[in-house]
Amino acid sequence: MKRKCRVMAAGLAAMMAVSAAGCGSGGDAPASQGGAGSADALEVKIWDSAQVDGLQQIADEWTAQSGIKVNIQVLGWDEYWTLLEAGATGGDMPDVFWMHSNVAQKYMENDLLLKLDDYISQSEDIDLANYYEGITGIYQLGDAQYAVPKDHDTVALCYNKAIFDQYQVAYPDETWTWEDFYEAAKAITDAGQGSTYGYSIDVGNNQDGWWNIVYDYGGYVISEDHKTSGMDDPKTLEAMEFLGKLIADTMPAQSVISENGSGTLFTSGVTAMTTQGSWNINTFYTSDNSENFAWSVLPYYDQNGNGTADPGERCTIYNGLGWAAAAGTDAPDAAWSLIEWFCKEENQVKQADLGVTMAGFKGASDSYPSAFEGMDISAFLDMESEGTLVVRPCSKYTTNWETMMGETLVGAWNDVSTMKDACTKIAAEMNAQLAQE
Amino acid sequence: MAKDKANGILIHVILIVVAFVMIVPFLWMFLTAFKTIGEATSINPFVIFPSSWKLDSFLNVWKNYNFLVLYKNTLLMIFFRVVCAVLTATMAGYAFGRMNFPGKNIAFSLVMIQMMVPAQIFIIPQYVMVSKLGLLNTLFALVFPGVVTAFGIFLLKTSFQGLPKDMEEAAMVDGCNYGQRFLLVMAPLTRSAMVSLGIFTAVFAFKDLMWPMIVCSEASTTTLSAALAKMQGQFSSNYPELMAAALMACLPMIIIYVIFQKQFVEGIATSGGKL
Amino acid sequence: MKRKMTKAEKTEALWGWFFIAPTMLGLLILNFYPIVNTVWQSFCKTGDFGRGNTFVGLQNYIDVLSGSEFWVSLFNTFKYAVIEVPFSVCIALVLAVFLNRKMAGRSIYRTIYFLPMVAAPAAVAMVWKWLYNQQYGLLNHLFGSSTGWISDPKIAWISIGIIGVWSILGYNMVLMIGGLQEIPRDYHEAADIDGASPIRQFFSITVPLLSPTIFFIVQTRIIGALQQFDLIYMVMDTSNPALSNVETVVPVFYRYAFTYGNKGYGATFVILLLLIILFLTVLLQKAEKKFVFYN
Repeated sequence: MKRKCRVMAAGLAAMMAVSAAGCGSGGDAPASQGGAGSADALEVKIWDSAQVDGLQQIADEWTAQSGIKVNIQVLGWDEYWTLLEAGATGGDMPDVFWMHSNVAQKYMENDLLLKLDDYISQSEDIDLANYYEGITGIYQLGDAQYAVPKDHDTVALCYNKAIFDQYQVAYPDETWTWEDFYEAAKAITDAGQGSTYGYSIDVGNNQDGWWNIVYDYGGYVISEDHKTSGMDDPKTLEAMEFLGKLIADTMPAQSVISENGSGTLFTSGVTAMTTQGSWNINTFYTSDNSENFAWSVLPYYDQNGNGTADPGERCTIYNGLGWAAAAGTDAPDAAWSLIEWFCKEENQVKQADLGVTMAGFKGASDSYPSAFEGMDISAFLDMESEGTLVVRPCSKYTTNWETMMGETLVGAWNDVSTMKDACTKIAAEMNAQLAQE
Repeated sequence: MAKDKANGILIHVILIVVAFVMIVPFLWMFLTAFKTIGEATSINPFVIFPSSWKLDSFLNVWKNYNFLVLYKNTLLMIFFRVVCAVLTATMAGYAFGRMNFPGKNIAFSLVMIQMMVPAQIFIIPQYVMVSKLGLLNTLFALVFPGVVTAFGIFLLKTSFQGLPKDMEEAAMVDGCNYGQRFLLVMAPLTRSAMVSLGIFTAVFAFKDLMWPMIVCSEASTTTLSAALAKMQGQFSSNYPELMAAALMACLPMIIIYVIFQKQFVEGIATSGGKL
Repeated sequence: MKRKMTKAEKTEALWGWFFIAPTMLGLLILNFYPIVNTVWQSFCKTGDFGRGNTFVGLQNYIDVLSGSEFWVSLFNTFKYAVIEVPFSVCIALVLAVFLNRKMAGRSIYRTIYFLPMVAAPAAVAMVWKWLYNQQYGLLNHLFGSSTGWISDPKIAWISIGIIGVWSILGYNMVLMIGGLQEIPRDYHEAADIDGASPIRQFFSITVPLLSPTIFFIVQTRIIGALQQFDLIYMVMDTSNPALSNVETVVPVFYRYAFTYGNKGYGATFVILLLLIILFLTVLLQKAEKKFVFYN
């Protein structure tokens, strides 16, 4: 028995060692390459899957010149920020990535982004004066520039012609005020008898929804110095009261909007109108019944009552992403070279040509509408020429007050009589948060 | 006897009703996956069966998400987690269940505490460790938190405690040391507990959501569960594609379960009930 | 004075530590360091990206306990547990008793009931959201209603609880069948001869003899329910009007730690939850001695 004992023990021990080794070696082998941003490959992260093909095409041309491969990875919006934050905490960020106004200040203040000033001053292709100032400004801290504008976006109105025809309501056009918008939306909602509605936006549809109305009325969300909230400004409150009317008389229940999103409600024919950002055009362009959809500029609010849309009366919140690089990247020169490539005029035009997005470079977006054959999306460009651009409200911890804002407004959406209280409450909470930044 | 028969029928009726409730979500997942978005979001008329059995959603999802790679990653993660968990838990279970040594009780109470702590608190520190090792987006990262299992130790300890004394004593008389006794005599006797632990580990590894999502963010290195959660974020409204993806993600585990259901159910029933 | 160890004891100790060494090493690195780290964070005001933590003593605890959010989420956690635990245990018990006999289709039933256990949580959340959908969902169509199953604050917690019951039912049932098979047949045979009705037998024989298993399931399910995360995180969107009536403690922690980047404040939530779980465990262990029947 004793000998048998030894022999078997040796056998089993060997098996265990093998499986343990398997565990170790399996663990060590990377499941894919990537990760390290060595000079022969750059790791790029973005959050919009609709843009990856066009951007990869532009990046491949850079690879052809530089010999450095570019791996673009797409994540969902939430994962992108969870990951970037975790990466910043753990010291493992992608080489080149998108920055957003919501968090730019936080990343800049913590020295996580590569400072680009020296590169920009030596560059022949990049002159910041050529880009939308509002967007350039988002990525500035003190005198330093941490990202170059990649694109810009505007907001326009999409409507379903079939529903307008069915209820014999005139199509939206540039003469519409928000009051006209309300009347049309209400007419459709009343005639629709609970199965069709005029409009829908959720609490989170701020940039592509109610923030625009706030600025049209002369109100504001955050002061220019990012120190105080404008949510209790009398003009903001006036706009929010009007929004309350829209919610009560022209929209489905907030719970329905929350569960499905205003985009889906529109494409499935539940609502007749939706306000959408230019980053979302593709959803409507590729929708089953896209032949029924048409775009118009946003309505305006006639503050001075002269019957025309004056500056500041037809606002579109605009935002633009920035191409940034990690401060700790192994290959800062290559990372800059790629950013420069993405942002130079020729490739900004190309980005618009390919229908990726409108450009961050001023005047490079003219070809954008032609990327959507069969659908006229020029309203997004008209919003710029005929309307007023307002930079997306932001501060160091934008996400915190923006989330709080949405959560607080859920109550007001469900009971519009509490709208004013909700706004006052948001203003107080927001001021408290801003004071700590 | 007639009463018995009536009772039998009543029981079957109840069981069938419950079975129907249990299976409806899967059926609806299946039916939606074959519809167009238009059919899925049509209210008037409400569409129960797709007009034709369209595979478009499956093909789109298959094309846009490299499902083969997802299957492979998930399988590898499950394999290594099972091997590591069974190995460490069996060894520790033997020591805790059948040996006496100083520090044993303290060590075991540490094991117990781990079982009570919400797993989410481990995520950030573990992430930082993997990240500092430069091993994000690797198989190692996926396996890492699963190499030890407090639950498994508990399971195996109970199993070892239930074994009769005489076999081990006989081995001791024969001069086998602890290592030999463990490997040759005792460990083989807990095979069914090991199988249960393997099954548990596999199921929980498959269902693990937050960890792979954070640590393996790249589409080429992540797992089915995590990829699925991301899809919900990205295409929140394309219901047919979401359902097709959900079906494709669940199918392998369901097939494995149906094939090995005897081992699944009996393994859990016999060892789980003893805890 | 400490007794000197004999040689045999020394050998045993060495082997014992050898066997548990990999486990202890793993636990220390993977679990205890994170726990200590989290406890420490709960006493800090955490800076951006894990930098510049400043010690603030009990400030986070004071803030959390004096605010309403913790108490609301704790209340929600118990609401969830009150649905999931009793229903999943009772229904599972009845099903287990039905299935613990020779009958046609037994393994088919068992297979179907257990099926949710092997589905990915994201898939479960997606399909239930879709079934519950107020506008396009199957449920509202079948009942001809327009109920906001997961967005009406009055019923959302029940709807979420139903998903919880659906997910765990088969698992509990299988554990119960395991327990039932260990009850010796002669008890029931003797009761049959005495003419006791099946219902009587269920309450006076099955339930007492199965009480260790039932107790084990109740205990693990309570702890599991208190730690509920995946379901609520995946099903409840941030703009859902019922969110504040449903959100349990762990998702609130997650929101603070990951969305707001306020890890110290978030850590305080989990530490408090951990204390509650520890307290409940002690309580349940005491209750076990009273109510559970061991033969």
